[in-house]
Amino acid sequence: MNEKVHSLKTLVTGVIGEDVHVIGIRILEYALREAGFKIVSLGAQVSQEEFIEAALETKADAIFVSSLGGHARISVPGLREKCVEAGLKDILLYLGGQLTIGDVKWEESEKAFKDIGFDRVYPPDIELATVIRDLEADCRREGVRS
Amino acid sequence: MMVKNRKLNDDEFFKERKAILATWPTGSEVDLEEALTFHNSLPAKKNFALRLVEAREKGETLIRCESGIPTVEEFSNYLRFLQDEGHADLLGAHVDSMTRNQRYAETERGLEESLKTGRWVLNGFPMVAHGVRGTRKLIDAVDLPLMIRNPCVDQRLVAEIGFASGFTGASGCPILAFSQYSRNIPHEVVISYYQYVYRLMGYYGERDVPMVASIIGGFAILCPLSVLIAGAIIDSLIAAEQGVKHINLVNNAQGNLVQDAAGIIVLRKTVKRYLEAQGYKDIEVTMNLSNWSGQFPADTFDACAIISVGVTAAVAGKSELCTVKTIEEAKSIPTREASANSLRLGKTLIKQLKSQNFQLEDKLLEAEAAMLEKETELIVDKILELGDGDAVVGEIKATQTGVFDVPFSTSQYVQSRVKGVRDLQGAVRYIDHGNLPFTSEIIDFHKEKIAEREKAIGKKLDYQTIVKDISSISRGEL
Repeated sequence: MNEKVHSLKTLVTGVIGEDVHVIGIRILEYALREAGFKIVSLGAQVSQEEFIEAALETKADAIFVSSLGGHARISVPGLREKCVEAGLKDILLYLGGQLTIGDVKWEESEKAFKDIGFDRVYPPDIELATVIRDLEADCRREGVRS
Repeated sequence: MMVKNRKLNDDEFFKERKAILATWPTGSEVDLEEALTFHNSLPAKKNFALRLVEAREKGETLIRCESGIPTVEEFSNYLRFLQDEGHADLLGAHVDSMTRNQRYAETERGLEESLKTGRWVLNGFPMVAHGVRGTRKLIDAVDLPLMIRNPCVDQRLVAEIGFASGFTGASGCPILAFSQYSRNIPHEVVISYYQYVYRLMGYYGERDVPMVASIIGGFAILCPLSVLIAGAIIDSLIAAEQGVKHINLVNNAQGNLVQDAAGIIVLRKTVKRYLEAQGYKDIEVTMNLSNWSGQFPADTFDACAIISVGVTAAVAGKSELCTVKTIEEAKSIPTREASANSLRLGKTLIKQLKSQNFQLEDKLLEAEAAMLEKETELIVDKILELGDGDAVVGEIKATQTGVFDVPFSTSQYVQSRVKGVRDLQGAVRYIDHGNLPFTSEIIDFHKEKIAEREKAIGKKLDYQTIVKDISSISRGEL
C-alpha cells in the first residue's frame, strides 16, 4: 500500500436519493478506512446537493455513491454536471449497487452510467479489494494529472 | 411535539385524514363508506386477517412471497400467476420506494416511462399514482387476500388508498420505519404517522372489516433477536391502543434453525403477554417467519437451500405464515416464474414437514427461548419504566439513551452501538450490547458463546467477522 497516496485522500460516501440500504456502504466504508482513506459518511437518503456540499466542505477527492433499490436511473443523472458547476470538475465519482430493475445487461448499465460521468461503476457483489485497487490507481493517476 | 400511547379521537383522526387525502389528487378517490361496502361484498377468504386466524386454528403454515410490478395490467397477471402456478396462499403488493417517500410526481414520471418503454423503472407498485381505481383492479384479479408492503416513515396515504381498494393488511411499523427508513426524522413524528395508520385499521375493524398489522421489531440482518422482539412488543402496544385487533408478527430468519424457531415462539408469547398486561385482551396474534433478508446467494441451488432452511424454521416454530424470498432475489426484481417456483418449493417442503409432525428437540428450543425471553423482558420492562407505563414515551427515551438500540440504523438519532455476530452454530449473539439493560448472567452467556467460536477459529471476533457474517449466506454458508 502506498501511504503517501492514502494520507491525502478524502472520500465522501452515502446512499443516494430515497434509498435507505446502508449496510453495503457501511461495510465499504470500513474497508476503505482500514485501507487508509479518510471517510466522510453521509448515510442514507442523501441528495445530490448534499454530496456536493460535503465534498466542497471537506475538499474531497472522490464521491462514493451507493444505490441498492434499483432507482439509480432516476437518482444519479445530473450529479456530474452539478459537480462541474460547483467547481469539482476533477472529482472522482464512483457508483455501486443494485442500479437497475428488471433484465438489464450489466455491460449496458455500466456504460450508461459511465457515459453520464461516473469514473467507476460496480455491481452489488463486487469484491472490496477490487474497489480499493481501482481507487488507488485512480488516485495515483489523478496525482500525476495535477 | 409530545406523543403518547393514546388513541386518536374522531376529531383528531378526521382532521388529519382530510389533510392527508389532500396531499395528492388520487386521495380524492377514497370514500370510506363506499370502501366499507366494497369490502363487505368480498368473500371472507379474501380477508388477510381472517385467513391467518383460520390458519392458526387449523395448524397450517401458509406461504407467500413479496412482489411489486409498476403497471396494473402486468402486476395483475403476475399475481394471478403466483396464485395459479405458484399456489400462493396469500398475496401482497410491494410499493415502490419513490412512493414510500412521498415523491409522487417522480413516481408518475417513472410509471409513464414504464408504460411507454415496457421497461420497469420503478421498484414496486406505485399505489398512490394508480389510486383506488387502478389498485382495486389487483383485488379483482385474484381470489386471495392482499397485504400492502410499504415499510417507510409515512404510509398514511398509501394505507388510505390500499384499504379503500380492498387490501386487508399493511406491513411496516414505527420502529422499523424510524430506525431503518429515515435519517433525520424525529422519532415522535414517525410514531404519530403510524398511530394514524393503526387508527385507520381500527376504524375498518370496528365496522366489521378486519385489518391485520404486520409488525417486525426491526431489521434482522445479524441483529440479536431480543432487541427485535422488544421492538415488536412496543409496536404491538402502539397498534393495539389505536384499535388494531389483528397482529401478524414477523420473525426474520437469520439462519440458525433453533434460534429462528425459538424467535417465533418467544415473539408470540411475549407480545401476547404484554398486550394482556396493558389491557388489550382481544387481539388475534399470528406469526410470520420471513426468509433471510440480507444479501441472497446468486446461485440458484444455494438460494433454494436458504429458502428451505427458513421454511423449516417456520414449521418448527409453528408459524401461521412463511414469507419466502425468491430464487432470483440476488439478481433483481424476480420474474413471476422464479417467484412461483420458490412458492412451490416452500409449499412442498411445508407439506413434507407437516405430514411427519416435524419438530426440533424441545431441550434445545427451550434453552434458546428461555434466554431470549429474559433478555426481552429486561429491555421492555425498562422501556415501560422510563415511560411510567407509556410505551411510546418510554420507547422514545429508551432510544435516546441506548436502552433500546439496533445495529446499522439509518437514523442519526439511533446510537447503533449494538452489534451482533454469529456463534459457532451460526446463531446471532451480542458482540456489543451497548447500553441495553442486561444482567451479568446475560452478558456472560453471550461472551461464552462468542468465546467458543474464537477458540475454534483461533482468533478474536471483530468488525471484520461481522462483515463476513453478514455476507456468509450470500455464499451459501452460515
